[in-house]
Amino acid sequence: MSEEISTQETETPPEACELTTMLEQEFPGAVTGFHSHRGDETVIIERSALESVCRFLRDDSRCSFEIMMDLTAVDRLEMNETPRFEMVYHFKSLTHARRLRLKVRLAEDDCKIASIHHLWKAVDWYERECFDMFGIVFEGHPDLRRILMYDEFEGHPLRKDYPIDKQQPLVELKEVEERHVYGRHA
Amino acid sequence: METDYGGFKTTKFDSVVNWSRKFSLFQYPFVTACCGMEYMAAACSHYDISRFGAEIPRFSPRQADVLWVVGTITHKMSPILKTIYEQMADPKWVIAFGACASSGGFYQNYSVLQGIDRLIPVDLYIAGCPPRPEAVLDGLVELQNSIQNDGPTANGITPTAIRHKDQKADQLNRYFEISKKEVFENLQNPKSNRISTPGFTYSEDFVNVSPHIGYDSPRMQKDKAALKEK
Repeated sequence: MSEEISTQETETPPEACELTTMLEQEFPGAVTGFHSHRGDETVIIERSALESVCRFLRDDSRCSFEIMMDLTAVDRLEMNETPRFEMVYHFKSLTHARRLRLKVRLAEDDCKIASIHHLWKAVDWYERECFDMFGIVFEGHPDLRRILMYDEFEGHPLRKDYPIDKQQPLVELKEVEERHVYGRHA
Repeated sequence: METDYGGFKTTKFDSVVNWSRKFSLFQYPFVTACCGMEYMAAACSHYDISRFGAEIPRFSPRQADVLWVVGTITHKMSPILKTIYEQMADPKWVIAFGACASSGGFYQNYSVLQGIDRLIPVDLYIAGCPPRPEAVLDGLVELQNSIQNDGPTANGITPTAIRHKDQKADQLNRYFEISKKEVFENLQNPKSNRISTPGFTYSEDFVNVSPHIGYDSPRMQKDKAALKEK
């Protein structure tokens, strides 16, 4: 059995986190937290600063994150964390061969965030998927509607309070003896 | 099954018609997911579904006999599947190919229809995830038997399992009888000095062959204890 590597050995010291220090200088007050694992950084920022930070990351020659890799959300209801939702953005820079993860925390009753589709076109469908699965509204998105589920579906299935196997059939199904109770631990 | 055509019993006629139906099945492969790979494997030259007469896939429901529902059917897809089924002309049969079409498979969630028999009547279920091409061909042969014996009324009313219960029971008994003997004989490693009958014991060479697993089967535990005593 290999020995467990402690987090301290893999965590790069704060002085070596280039992107974090750059963001803290350019956008004072926006960065609320960060960590870094073997040189790959994660920065937690305020929701109000998202659009300007993303534009800076794309346009500035020191960062030049050309590729928007992923956009997803985490529902932290079962971890008993507030704010409930955490948006996770992954960026990749080809010129500097670097990746960055950006996190934004959203409260349950106010899950709206600015859309960044005008910066990266690929974000369009990612934001639609986030809206479909979590119910997070992206302000400024040109066509925010469901992408994976059908329009008649009620609710947002990847939220933790949606019973995972509650079915909403579109056509009338034959009656089958249901012995299963909806919910995750049934 | 005998039918009446204006007062005449037509048994021979039925059996001839059913014979021709079963050996000329036009398939509609409603393929959605990974099972499609095994469907393609069964249809191509190595396993060759055309030996059984079911050669051509007809991609129009109007021209097809058998609806092969291959892969996962979600609720979003279910109205489409129902439309396709209704567009097919009688006589028609439905095959639920794979675990997802039979029962929802390992997807028990908000989006997957838990088995297409909740939607349309199914004649044949081929289990597997995905089923081997040999299982597909075995299923096809069973469907052909049921078409021959039951005719167009095979559509979900007299499932083959009930009709051929005795035959199936014989097959299963035979399988269990031969499996114990043949499995152990064929597993015998030429380098080992194990006894080939089911009462084999692990030899000293092989008792510690996988220590990294960290689990000893009851047979292994017994044999290790016996070797230690020696």
